[in-house]
Amino acid sequence: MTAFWRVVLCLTALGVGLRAQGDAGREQVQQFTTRTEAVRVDVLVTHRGRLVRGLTVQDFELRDGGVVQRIDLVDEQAEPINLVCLIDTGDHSRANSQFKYLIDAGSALLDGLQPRDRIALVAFSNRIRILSTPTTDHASLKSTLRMLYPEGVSSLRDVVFAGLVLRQLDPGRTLLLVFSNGWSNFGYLRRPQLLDAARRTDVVVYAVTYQYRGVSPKDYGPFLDALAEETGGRVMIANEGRDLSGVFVNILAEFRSRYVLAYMPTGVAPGGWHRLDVTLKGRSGDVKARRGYFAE
Amino acid sequence: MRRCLLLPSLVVVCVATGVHVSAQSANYQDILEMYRRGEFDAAVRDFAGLPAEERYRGARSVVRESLRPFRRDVLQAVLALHTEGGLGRGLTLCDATPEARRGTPDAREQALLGSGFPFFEYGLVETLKTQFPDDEFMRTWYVTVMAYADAAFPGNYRCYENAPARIRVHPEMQLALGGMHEKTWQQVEADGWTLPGFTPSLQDAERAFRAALQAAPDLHEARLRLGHVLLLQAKPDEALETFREVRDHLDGGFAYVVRLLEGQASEQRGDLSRAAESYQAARVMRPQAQSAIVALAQLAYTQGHRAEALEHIRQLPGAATAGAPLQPWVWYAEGADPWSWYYFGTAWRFPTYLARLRAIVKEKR
Repeated sequence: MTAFWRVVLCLTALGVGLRAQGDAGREQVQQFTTRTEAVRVDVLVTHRGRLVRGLTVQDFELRDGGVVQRIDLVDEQAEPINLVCLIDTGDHSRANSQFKYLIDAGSALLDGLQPRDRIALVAFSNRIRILSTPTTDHASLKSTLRMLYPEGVSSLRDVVFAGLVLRQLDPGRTLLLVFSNGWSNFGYLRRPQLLDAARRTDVVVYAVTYQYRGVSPKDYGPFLDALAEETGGRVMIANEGRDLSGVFVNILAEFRSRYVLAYMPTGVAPGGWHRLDVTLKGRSGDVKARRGYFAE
Repeated sequence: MRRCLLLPSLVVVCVATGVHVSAQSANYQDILEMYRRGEFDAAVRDFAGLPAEERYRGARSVVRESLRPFRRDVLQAVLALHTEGGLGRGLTLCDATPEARRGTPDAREQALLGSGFPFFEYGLVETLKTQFPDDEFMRTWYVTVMAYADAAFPGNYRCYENAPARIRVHPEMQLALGGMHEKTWQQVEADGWTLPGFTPSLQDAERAFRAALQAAPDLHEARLRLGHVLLLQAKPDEALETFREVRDHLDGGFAYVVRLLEGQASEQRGDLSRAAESYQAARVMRPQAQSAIVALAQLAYTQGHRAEALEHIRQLPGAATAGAPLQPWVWYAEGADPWSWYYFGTAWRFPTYLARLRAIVKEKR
């Protein structure tokens, strides 16, 4: 079943995400014309703040548009993941010492990757710099990280959109990790546009921020919360810069511990917005999953 | 710190280095000495004559100097000079307002500087408040500045409390400054400083822009903003017509921005191919700017053309150059360009504000 779902889901991701592209020589030139209806839902289960492991498919119930679906549990934990990492280098108010912690956290994140994991690295201020499209060459990215420096202001919404689009370079499970203080007054895209784009992917967004000069990151507003909520991810807040490394590594571990449910939708409309509800059957726990998906 | 972005001339404050500042006719240290000697009028005159960058770099460096060790007398003199200097600019503006209405750049800059007096002071005040949180002098001085601002800009006092309401009722400000839900109270407070001259509704803004344009039809940037206001009122046809009228009169970043806005208006009409043409035109104008690329990518993405969106995004690295220049959309949306900030509503109310400002200064003297 796992192998089956892996093939189906890859076809799905590519069918939805990548149309046939003709120009030879470009990586990820995928020539899939087959389009399946398989849906993958990344699920986090916690109980009293702790991860809940060891659940089976019988522990879950998934409704697509209110209709209970027959689901399978895909064993993805041994598979490589795709990480799209967005690093906010903007905001002048961040002290250089804090910025150092951010770079250290990025390095710790790279150390936490498995050899086959792929990572795309994007830095952003009032410009977006795609430092790397998805690669397994983690070592080279460490030196790239060291070359980052604080500059400008942040165009958070624009870069998140870029990250969502970059996700299409690989059909596998994708974690979009964005480090930012949550300010985004300088981007071109507006919040509704970005959230709409987020609803059209299966990317899971984890956002990281930290307290600075006594200001709670929550004060920066719920944009990141909304984004994480929409995609089934979370916002993590470090008490200070030096805690960032631990937060980054924990996110990676948490993402690997999530459950992946898959199903072929039945009894639902073929297109449009599909609301998803994932619950536990006969167990206590908090479930986080994307709120729905667009069938295009 | 984002305040520094609102006005390009203030960006240097963020990176001010050095202590001694030169100027064409007088430098900041000389002016400070004049002030200490009681030559107030001359000090204000020369201060107003300093280039903006030197004015603020000088103020910051002298303040820094005074802080190590803390010399209240120096600090007090600097702050007072700065305050009076700002007011001096406001007085100049009063005389220049007719010129400003004719749209000459110099007069417009004066108008901007005059109106920005409380804004200019704000960063300095914040720095000092941090340095001396319990110092009675700081509190007193801060209150003084706030009182000036209150009198000169009705409703500006306690701007932190007033700003949310202003932002909520003003969709363009939400666009430009971000929604309230994304803001810290510090940001809201900052907005409060920049908002007092803004009109409370899109309808009022439209009326203000039309009135300004009737008085001075060649205020092209104001016409651009009128088009934007129309767009935000979901009047894409009128917006497009306005953009058509103005786009041949704008160059540089404004020309780029008008193409972006034309694209948005076309999207609003449902004419996506025309929107793409506008974004593409913007992209050709400013190959190094990223907003047009993001706009093209987003347009493709929402149509389900994911591969095309990806192609656009992949071209972003080529748009990255050394340094991080402010892009046209950024300065337009954030009001970093002096003219946009000036035009938006403040143009309509300048004479009233500055007449009051002049009265305050006379009374103080």
